[in-house]
Amino acid sequence: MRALLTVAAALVFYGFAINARYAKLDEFIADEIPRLTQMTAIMFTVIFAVAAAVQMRVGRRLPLYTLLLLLTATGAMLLGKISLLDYLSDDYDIFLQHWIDSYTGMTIKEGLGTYIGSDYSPPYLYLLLLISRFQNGPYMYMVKAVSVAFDVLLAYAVMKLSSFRMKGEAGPILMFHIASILPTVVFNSAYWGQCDGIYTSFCLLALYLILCGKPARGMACFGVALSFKLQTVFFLPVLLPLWLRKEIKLRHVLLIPAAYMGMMLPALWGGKSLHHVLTVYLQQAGNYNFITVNAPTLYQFLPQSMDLSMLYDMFGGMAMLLGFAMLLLVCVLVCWRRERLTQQSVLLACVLSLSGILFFMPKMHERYTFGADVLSLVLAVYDPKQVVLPLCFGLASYICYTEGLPGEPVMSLKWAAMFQFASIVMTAIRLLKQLNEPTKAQLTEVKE
Amino acid sequence: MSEGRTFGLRGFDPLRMAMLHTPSRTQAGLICVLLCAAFFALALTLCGGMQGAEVIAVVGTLCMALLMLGAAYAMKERMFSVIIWLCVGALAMLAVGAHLTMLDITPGRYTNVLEPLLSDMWNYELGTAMAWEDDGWTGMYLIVCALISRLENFSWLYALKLVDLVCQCLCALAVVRLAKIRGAKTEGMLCAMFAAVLAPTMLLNAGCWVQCDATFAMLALWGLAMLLDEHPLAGCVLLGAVVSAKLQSAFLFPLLIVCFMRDKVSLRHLLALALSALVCHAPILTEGYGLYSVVHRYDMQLETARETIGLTDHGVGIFGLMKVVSVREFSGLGLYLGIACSLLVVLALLRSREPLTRWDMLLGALLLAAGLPLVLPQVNARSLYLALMLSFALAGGVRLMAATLLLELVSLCSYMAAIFSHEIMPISVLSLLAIAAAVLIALELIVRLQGGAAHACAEEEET
Repeated sequence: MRALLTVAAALVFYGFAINARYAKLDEFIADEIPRLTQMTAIMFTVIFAVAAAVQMRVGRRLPLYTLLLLLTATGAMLLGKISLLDYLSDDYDIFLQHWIDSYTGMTIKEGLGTYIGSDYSPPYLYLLLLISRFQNGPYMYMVKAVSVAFDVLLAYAVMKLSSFRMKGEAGPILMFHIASILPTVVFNSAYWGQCDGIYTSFCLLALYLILCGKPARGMACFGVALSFKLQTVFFLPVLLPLWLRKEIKLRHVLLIPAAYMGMMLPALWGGKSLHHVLTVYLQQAGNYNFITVNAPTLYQFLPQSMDLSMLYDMFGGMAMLLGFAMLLLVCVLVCWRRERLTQQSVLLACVLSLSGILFFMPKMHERYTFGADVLSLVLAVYDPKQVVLPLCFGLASYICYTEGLPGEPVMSLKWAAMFQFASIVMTAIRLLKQLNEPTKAQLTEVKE
Repeated sequence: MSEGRTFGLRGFDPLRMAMLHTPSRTQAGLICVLLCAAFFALALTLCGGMQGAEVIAVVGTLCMALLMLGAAYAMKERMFSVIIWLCVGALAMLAVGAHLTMLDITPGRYTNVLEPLLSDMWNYELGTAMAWEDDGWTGMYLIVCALISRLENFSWLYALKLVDLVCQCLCALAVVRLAKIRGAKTEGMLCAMFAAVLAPTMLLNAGCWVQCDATFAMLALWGLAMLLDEHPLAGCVLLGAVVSAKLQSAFLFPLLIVCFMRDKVSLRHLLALALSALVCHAPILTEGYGLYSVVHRYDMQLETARETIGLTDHGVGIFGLMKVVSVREFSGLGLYLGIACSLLVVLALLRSREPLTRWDMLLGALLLAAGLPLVLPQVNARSLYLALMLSFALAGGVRLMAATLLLELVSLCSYMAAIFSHEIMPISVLSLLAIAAAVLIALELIVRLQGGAAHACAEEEET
């Protein structure tokens, strides 16, 4: 019955998706347009079907009318995202498009082994290579479809993390939907076509798996996330107290590099050097030598009239050390009170790490606080009063996004930095309170 | 001193005694009638120089009577002294008087839009005028305009403003009723009622700007009150009528899903709703335009708005936080997001405890009315009108009080920008304040539903 409902809903969604306006397809010759429209509609219908199937599975005990409402909401959200697909971002125009074009003339093995001038890690390039297999396809839509598909995984992870606190099925599924329509999520994937949702979804899934007592799978997920983006390291400080408490063993930690290397195998098979796959992030770290790239960081308070590169030369070293100091501070805090760690305090520490370290680090982009934006939503589940955290983090990120997108920013980035700082302080205070409270429910209860 | 207080006549003060006297129901009714008569005489004198002073005085007195009716409804639980009745009466007089003082203000909207429309309508038969093809309005408001266009010896401007005034007073009555539903005390109900007619945005909307929001809000609020007061048929009929008056009334429609699933509304009620909407469009149908034309008019309204105003017309919300964006892309996003958000509110209500209280339903209605304009495209400065009316009725706790104040502030600033092109605060700041208000309302709803959620979960686990 539920499977039938999913199929029927997918068919209805396809009906809407095929009639949506895909302006980018106007660039193709007229004969091709129906095929490409169909292809785009099918891609998004598959994403819808996956999202629907997840909800059917999780909400299997919910009444049919509730499921119907949920599917309608999912469909509406996805159609909303479809309406944003036509925006051509600089990143796609300058880089991704050319990389895909380069791949189209290669075989899979050649593609895996060729250095196409990208500083992205190999796993994301596999996805681009996969996209290039569709000859003369709507590549921009496909790139965005990949990001939107990972939004589903991201929302799933948020739903699972929320289910620690929310009993029943409807509540977590509502969180699934709310996570899907967070402003930064919508802008990051459907509008901008960025891939921050990919590594964040794996990180959140890893966090969920660790918190529910499956550290091996969690570490593997962290490894996969790390293979997509370096920013995963900002999630890692919370592992330290868990390791000290023997929630995670050293053999589990070793799964991170193992999974990372596992993800690099296709590139190695294709012919890329071991040195390349191991040092891809070192190469990345050498780029963008600016004190900040539209990120909500402390350095937004520096004079805007000065060159960002020069500011990096002046303060880059100090900024790096401040970032590491913040990292250590979070580590000390959670290790010191490790016996009092609860699920909520682990999540708080994670948000603090994701937002606090980035606040002091140099070279940060506007999209790097994506993890804090999403994870802080889960904190609101633990205490509705903490809804101020996702709002402030989201607002800070959104202000920064508007700097990176066409037009003037909605406010000066100093305000974004202030909102970010206020949110970090609130998170830290909340974490301290949590760690000083006599714990009734500690982390180990999760294992039961 | 003590002698005078006990026996003597030195402390005797007949005026004070009369003021502190607690009147019976009949006496209270008599006071109201006297106050209305006094207002009529006053209005007749003060408006003497205006065209149709008698009509203005009669309509003003009618509005005054409506407000006194609302006050009597709010005060029926307890006995109040004469002084209280007089103060309430004076407040009602002031409220109506404040609207009447603005009758002569001729806004650009009247000279540029309404007057030409009424003049055009005047040239045609009443039936044709009622079915006027216009991008701005449908159904009921066209009927009102067509009827006003028939007036020969009375200012159309006054007529439009007086219709709005009557509707606003009826809105205030509905607000009292809704406040009662949420369990407000007498003073709470009175404050809500007078806020609905005396709040700056309410005064500006009808009295100065000649807008028609009071017309649709009146039907929507009474529809909601009837629906929650176990009169689903009347509620659905009113909601059907309101959808013909203005598309914004659809903000409350998701609640019908909740009522339907909770067996508060049946299929025949929904049919009555559709029928009522159709009846309000009867002039269009009888003029031979057909059913498609009725639906197409809404589509045309949206299309025109998209082409002329872009994403927002001084309206606050997510589009107030975007500087350069494609209208087509983001209109789609806003529309779908609106649908998704309203369904999420419906789901939250449906998964709450059983039976859902009327308080919860009202909060849901407020969240929809205050939240949806923030995500939908092509909204204008007046989009929070219905939300404001509802928030007056619900402003019980600190959170909702703060939300009400924020909504009023945001609306007022938007009005200033739209009417006088005067920017008090940047639209981005106003948008953030409006979002904060919606969050406060959502938080209140979540806190209220949380107790019920646990109950629902237990049930789920049992099944």
